[in-house]
Amino acid sequence: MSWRTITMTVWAVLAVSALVAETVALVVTDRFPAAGDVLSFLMRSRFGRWFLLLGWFWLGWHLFVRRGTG
Amino acid sequence: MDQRVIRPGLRRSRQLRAAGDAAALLGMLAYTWVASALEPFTWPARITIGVLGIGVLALAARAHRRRVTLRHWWLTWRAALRHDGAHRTGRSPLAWRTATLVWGGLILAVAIWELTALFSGPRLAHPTLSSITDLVLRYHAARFLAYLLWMALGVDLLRR
Repeated sequence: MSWRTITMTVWAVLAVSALVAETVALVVTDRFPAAGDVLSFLMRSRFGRWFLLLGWFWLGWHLFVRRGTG
Repeated sequence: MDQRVIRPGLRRSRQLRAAGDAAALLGMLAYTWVASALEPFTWPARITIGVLGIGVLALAARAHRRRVTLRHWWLTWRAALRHDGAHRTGRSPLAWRTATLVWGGLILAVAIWELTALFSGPRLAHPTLSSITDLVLRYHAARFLAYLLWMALGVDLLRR
């Protein structure tokens, strides 16, 4: 098995885990907070809010302006 | 009698609002289509992203919703994990403990795997998240959708 296959498999496992966690959270809303609830909780603080907003800006810059550097 | 007088005005107002919403949506889609077609590492690409990013940050700076300090937030989170803080978050301590473990674990796992891939070579054998997204974002339709998702995320963050 090549390193590329291993790396891509781990990425796929992480993506599926996040999807499963989000689905479970949407089904059992009162027993497990969804990603959106965690975001809302993080954004209660000024620091968390600006950290996430600047992170969002960086993500857009990275994806659409600095694309193709990897 | 009154209804006859008000209804045409209301209808016109609704029509105007609907027309305004449709124009805004079309304008946003056109902006996104053009912006997502721009070549990376160029000034037009920097300006189109910069305008949106700075616009959202400016709106965030004007928001009046009360935010707590980092210390206060930390204490709330610690309390949410115990029984005495459950009422502040609307969920049981067990729910927050599970969420901390699952979401925190996932974020940590992604960060570790990203750094592992970043410092391993060659990139073809150890693709990072950026190199995987680059494979998809070389197509304009994919970039257009990603741009829309990125903007929706920004609006969502503003509303929280």
